[in-house]
Amino acid sequence: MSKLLTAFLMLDKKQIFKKGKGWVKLTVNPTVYPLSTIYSAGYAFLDKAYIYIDKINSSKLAVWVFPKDKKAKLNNLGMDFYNELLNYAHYFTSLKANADTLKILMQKALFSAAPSLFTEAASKEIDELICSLSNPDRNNNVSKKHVSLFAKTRK
Amino acid sequence: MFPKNMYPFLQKHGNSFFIRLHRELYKKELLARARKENPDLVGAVLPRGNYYLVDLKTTEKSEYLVFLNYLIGLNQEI
Repeated sequence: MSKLLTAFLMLDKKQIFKKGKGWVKLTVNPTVYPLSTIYSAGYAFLDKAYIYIDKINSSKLAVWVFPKDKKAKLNNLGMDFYNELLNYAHYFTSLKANADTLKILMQKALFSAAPSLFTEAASKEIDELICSLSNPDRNNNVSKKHVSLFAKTRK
Repeated sequence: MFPKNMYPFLQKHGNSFFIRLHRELYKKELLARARKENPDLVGAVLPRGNYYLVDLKTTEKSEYLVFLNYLIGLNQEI
């Protein structure tokens, strides 16, 4: 490894890491890792360490990690915390991205378990559709969702 | 009682030490619930600027750290 790269890594490490006697202080950007992610990572660490979160400024949070095991390596613990942050950031991003798919799957599972629910929901929407069609002033409110559900039920 | 700079979250106020918690990270409701659940441990909660100063009725060093973890756990529940 070149000297320049080594120096760069050390500099970077100093910026995100600060160690003391029995603690390591990590710097986290809340715009990169939202608070929910930081709390979740902290929660996952509760059995390994004591966690304290403080705000330095709007773009910097400090997470203090106090290992419960006095022999624990502070560097490893700090890096593990960053990994946990990434893990939860990925989890929340996937959850958001797959929310619609998850909803459809849940609905399908629910309706297959109790088909009467689907019939009730469909007939209610058909009634609303007929009502809105019979009233010309409300025609504009007919949504595509109603039409598609109506078409599906007719099949 | 505590070595200087050992715990960054401790702040001396009067004759006792208080835990310093940022308002945006440790909400009022969270502290209120912690106080309700542990009336023997959690004393006064004083708002000071961007922070709340929490008086813990203990002199045990470890209890301060346990309390911090308790708040992280409680925060996930709320």
